[in-house]
Amino acid sequence: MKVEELLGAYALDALDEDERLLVDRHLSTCDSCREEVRDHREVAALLAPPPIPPPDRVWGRILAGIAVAAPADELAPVVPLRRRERRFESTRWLAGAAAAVAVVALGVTVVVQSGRIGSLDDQVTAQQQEIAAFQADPLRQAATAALEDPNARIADLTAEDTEARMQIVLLPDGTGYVFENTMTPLPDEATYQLWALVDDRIISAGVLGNDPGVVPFHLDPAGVQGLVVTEEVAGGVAQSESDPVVAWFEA
Amino acid sequence: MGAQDWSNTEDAALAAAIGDASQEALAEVYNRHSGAVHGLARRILRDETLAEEITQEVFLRLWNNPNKFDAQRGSLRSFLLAHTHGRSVDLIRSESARRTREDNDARLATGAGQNIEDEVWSTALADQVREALSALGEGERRAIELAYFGGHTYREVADLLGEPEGTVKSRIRSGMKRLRQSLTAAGVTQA
Ligand SMILES: [Zn+2]
Repeated sequence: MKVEELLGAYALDALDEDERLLVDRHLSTCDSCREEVRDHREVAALLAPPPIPPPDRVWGRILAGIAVAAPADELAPVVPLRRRERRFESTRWLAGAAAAVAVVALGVTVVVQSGRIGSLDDQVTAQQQEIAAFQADPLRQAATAALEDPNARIADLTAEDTEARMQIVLLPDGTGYVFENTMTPLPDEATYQLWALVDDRIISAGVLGNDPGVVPFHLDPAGVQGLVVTEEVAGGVAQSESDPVVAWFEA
Repeated sequence: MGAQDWSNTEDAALAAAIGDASQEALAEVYNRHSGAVHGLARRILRDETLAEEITQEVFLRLWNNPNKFDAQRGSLRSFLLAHTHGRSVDLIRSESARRTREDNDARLATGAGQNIEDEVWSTALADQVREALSALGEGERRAIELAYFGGHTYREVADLLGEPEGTVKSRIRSGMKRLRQSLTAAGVTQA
């Protein structure tokens, strides 16, 4: 059998392991076969079905995977999917922020649920658990460790008239995590977005996705007077016109 | 923010920037290709959770091993989709995904439901791809479908179709070559 005959099936991942290894070995020394495989893969890419944009939480987890891999002091800021000016002077609800302080309950109750990202646990395939253990748990562990850090600031964001709440932990170095929450999942076209009230300005602190689990973000804790989550179109916005879903303001 | 505008940057340059740890370049690549990656994974796996895990893994791998992409050896899109396909197929070949796959097979083998031509999305490019597909023999097209979307080895495809392994193996290769010729003639791929 000539190895060339296997190249079509190779490019479509349709070889058994032993034949795949055979082709791998051959490709390491044969330019023309490598070119043929490249051509087959370009064609295969054209056969791919219609794109389905993944929900925002996937980007959040990718950022989390990057963040977990990096040393803590290099923790990068959340990059919004669509780059926008992130700082602005005022919003409609900034004016209401002071008034809201009065009605927002403060608290530091730590409720460790096994839900959220743990919804993966309900689905029992070995791969899912393996991947979940690899991707999700380090983040959860990092967030839990942050929560236990004596220097952490813990903010419980609550709502005026719903049961929605979100717990956020922020470390002195600016590492932050959205931790437990009871937010209603949004449709794919929408996202929760986190804002910080700093020196009377509103700064976007991260696009959290439509069903946030544990989400890392970066926010210089100096001067943070409040944290607000709004509901926005997927990808997030530069300036929010939306009312807060949950909020926390420093006493 | 004084940030660079990546939206007009070519894929190869974005990949190079990812090699220099630019998260914004990764975000742009994700904007461009995550839909295709996720769509392909979901098509093969028929499971949203697994498809999301694959999508996440594909982009994390690009971030962690940007040097695996070689612009001389094809486009970033085909690189990402090849990885997506390989990992999706790994998963679907495992025991736990078997049931989903059997459902899949039933549709593919009987030709019921959507076939490959319906799946190709509706753009001018898609019309050309559809035309190229229609130029294939039935045997070639079916073999490519079962391998590409069903995640089958060519031996399994031979079993499913009741045809000799050697025939299926060469049909996959000749079908892929024929597709390429048609698409090159239509100006979609380069000779
Ligand atoms: Zn060769």
